[in-house]
Amino acid sequence: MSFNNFIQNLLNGISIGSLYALIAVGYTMVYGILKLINFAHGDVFMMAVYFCFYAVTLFTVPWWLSVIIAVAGAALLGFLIDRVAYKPIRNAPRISALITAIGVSFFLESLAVVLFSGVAKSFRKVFPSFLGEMIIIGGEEQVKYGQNVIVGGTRIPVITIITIITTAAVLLILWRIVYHTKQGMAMRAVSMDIPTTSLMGVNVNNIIGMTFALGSALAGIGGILWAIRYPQLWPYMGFLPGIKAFIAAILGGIGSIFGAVVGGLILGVLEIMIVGFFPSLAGYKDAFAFLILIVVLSVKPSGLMGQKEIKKV
Amino acid sequence: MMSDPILKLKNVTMQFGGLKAVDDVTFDINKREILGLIGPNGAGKTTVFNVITGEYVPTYGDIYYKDVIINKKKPYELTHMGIARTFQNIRLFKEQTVLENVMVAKHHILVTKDGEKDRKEAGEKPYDSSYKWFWKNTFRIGYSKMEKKIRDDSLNLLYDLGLKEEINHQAGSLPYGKQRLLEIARAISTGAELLLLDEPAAGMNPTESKMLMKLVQNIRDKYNLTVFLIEHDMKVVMSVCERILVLDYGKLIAQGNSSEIQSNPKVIEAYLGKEWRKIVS
Amino acid sequence: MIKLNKKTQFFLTIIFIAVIILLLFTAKENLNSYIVRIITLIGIYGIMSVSLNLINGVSGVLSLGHAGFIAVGAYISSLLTMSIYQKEAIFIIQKVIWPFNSIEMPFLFATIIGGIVAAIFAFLVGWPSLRLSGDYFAITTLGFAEIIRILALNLTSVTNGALGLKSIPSYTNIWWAWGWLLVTVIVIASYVNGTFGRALRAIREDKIAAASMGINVYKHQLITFVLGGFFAGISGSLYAHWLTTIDPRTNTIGIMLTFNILIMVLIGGLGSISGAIIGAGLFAILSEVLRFFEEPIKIFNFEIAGISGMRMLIFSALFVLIMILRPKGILGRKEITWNNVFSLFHRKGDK
Repeated sequence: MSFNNFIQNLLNGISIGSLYALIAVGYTMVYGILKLINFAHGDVFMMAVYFCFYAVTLFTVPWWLSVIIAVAGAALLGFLIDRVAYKPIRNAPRISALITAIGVSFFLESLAVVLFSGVAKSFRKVFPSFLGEMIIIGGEEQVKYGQNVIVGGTRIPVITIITIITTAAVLLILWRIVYHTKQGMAMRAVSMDIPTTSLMGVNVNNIIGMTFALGSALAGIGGILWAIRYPQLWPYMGFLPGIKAFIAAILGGIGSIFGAVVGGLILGVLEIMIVGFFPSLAGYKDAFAFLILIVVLSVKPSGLMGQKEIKKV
Repeated sequence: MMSDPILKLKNVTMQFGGLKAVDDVTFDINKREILGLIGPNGAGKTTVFNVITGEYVPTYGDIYYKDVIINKKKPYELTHMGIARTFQNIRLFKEQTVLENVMVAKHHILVTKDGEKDRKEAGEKPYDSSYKWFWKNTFRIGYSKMEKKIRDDSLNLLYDLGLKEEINHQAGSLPYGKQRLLEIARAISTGAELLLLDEPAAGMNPTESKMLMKLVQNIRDKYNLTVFLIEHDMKVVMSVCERILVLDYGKLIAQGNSSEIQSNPKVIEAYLGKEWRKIVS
Repeated sequence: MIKLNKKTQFFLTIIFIAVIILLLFTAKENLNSYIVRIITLIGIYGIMSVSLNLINGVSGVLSLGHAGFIAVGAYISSLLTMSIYQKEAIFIIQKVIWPFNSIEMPFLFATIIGGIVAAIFAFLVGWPSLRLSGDYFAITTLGFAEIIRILALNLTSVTNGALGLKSIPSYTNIWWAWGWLLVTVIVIASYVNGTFGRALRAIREDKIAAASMGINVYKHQLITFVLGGFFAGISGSLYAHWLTTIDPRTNTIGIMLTFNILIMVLIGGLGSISGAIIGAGLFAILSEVLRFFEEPIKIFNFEIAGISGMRMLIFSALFVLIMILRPKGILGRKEITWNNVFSLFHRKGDK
């Protein structure tokens, strides 16, 4: 692999990794509070892309407005999922909550099949073409069209740069919200101790709903950036990225937002690099994440940044 | 009294982050003794239990059970070796019947060679232990005889503890006091030699706790047990325990028999504060 | 509450099985082949749901990898029953590797080997992942099923890659399916009703208390997981010889299958074997009945196009509703036993 190739792969990995990070943050925030794997999170990601797609194609909304609509729609959807499905079973055993989450995920996928049909749709030309798109040729990801920036002999697709910058900006805003607003403080308090926080006069359900909305909005942004990159949308598109992002969240230490970002970046770079160095493994690309998960959890069950939980007897 | 320790703690410290829940604690438990552990709330009493039963691995120090270091043994391994416990917040299998709760405690003797080895040394061979019971259980080969033995042993134990009437009741439906009794029965049923009771009288009315005191002495004699108990009810502790340990802020501040403990100024201070000590004296 | 003695119960069970056999025989002789096929499928679904119920309902972990074990059983057994000539014909990209290129064996042995290989996979998956906490176990098993699907697509010399396996002999009939269901139920029921079952229920309720009873939680969950994996492999073999094709690109052996089995278990009630079988039956029948939504409907000359995907939407909505309203499943953990049945009649008689 030449140096230019390496840099290209690295940037590519970072941009995929930042998409994982955007989704992983939603998982980790919900898990931090409810100790629940919100399986439906990947499907919120998928729904957001459909919102965006139909806003542009059906209602001919300008593309920037469609992004706002999609992100708001995702946030609302996340909020509703919590209210309708998870709130009634807050005190049920964790295994019931987990099964419910799987059910909600399949419900959203089936709903998408019924509403938008199971046939894949193209996301090409929904957004201006300067954003470019990636296609897969012989296992290696190459730029088919769209503009590149050339820096010292390395071709960098515009969408890669946009993805990285957008992610950084969004995470900065999230950080402001979580650490510098009253709601953020309430969120952090709820994640530590729900009963005590509710005794302090905080409406815990509202804070949980807000967490869902916030996480879903991030997933929505991630979904749109994902669709520009891989311009094919279908009802099951959220499944794999969702699961991988959850793995990223575990990798970084579940419950920690910073950990989710680090985990996402590591996973993204590893995935691209392994295929870059060993092209013959390209077919197995989607299996790496799970192997990484098993290895990491066997060595350090609390993840890279996570804190060891003290068992209560 | 001749000392013949079954369990020894040597300089045991249990640290959570910066907090020392148990701080350099050293003591012995003698065979067939009833030993009490008291101390104000948050003194680290239950942590001592959790360290002994393998829920936590002590940060420093060693724990010896029958002269074997057991620091890193898992809870189930310690049960095989003969240490059983009850929990402060009752942990019965609430959806199962009283009888099943006691019967399940015999399961490990059936499948674990360790358990049998220990018992062989003690001159008994009640069960033919190994995981081959998986096949015998699943394909019902010579299984019913064993099931009957487990059942009979469990019934006898329940009669001894006065739970005869309730054998087919759901454990979760029992009144509080009887749940505590059932938890003790279940712990004995594991074939324990050292029994750790975490606040056995909590939530009991005075009549019940009086009965409990008698019961603890009876089962100690009948089943040849060593009993180590945490209790807040001073009446229970003072009347039933032959020796008492006092824990405060994770440190062992006193030990002795009930009258020694009652007159120990450090103990009074720990419970009532410095001001009270002046008033009392 | 009526208590029958053991001999009477055993006798009644024998009669019950005989009646089922008679009913199946009558059905096979008199009903059309479409319905017979569905009845066969109910038998296969029954094995799937009883074995998943053993893992998820009885031992108290959540496995999402059942489709993976089913796929393993399906591939292994099909490769063993297909004729050597057939295999040469369909493996066009790469030749099938030894030993499959020189073996052809009867259905029964192929099925058992499929089950054993699936059990070995279950051991290899469970061994590291059952040490993890419950949520991580769920994700890891889900990942395992996904890895199996990826292997099926890429390991061309074993699985024929994306082309899948075609013209698998259609050995699975009503007797194979229901015969294996009987074996599954007998084995799992006697496993669960003995001392091991008591230990598993203890683990399900409270792991810490179970450990303090001397139960090695990890080992018991692993044994149970392997047993469940074995029967999943068996059902996979039956399923493949019922479908006669395995296509790794569609969702026949993917996560959707796990989800369907989970619905069966939930309809029946987490932890109840009789419930799991009833759930399998209801699921198979419902998914045939609900086909109606996906086919064009004619109302007075107007044709309304069927909506594809409607069945899954209804099932998943049902799934979520069950979890919210009755988290232990519709029937709960209760088993249908002779005592319960007679008590029911008795009570009615009293009135």
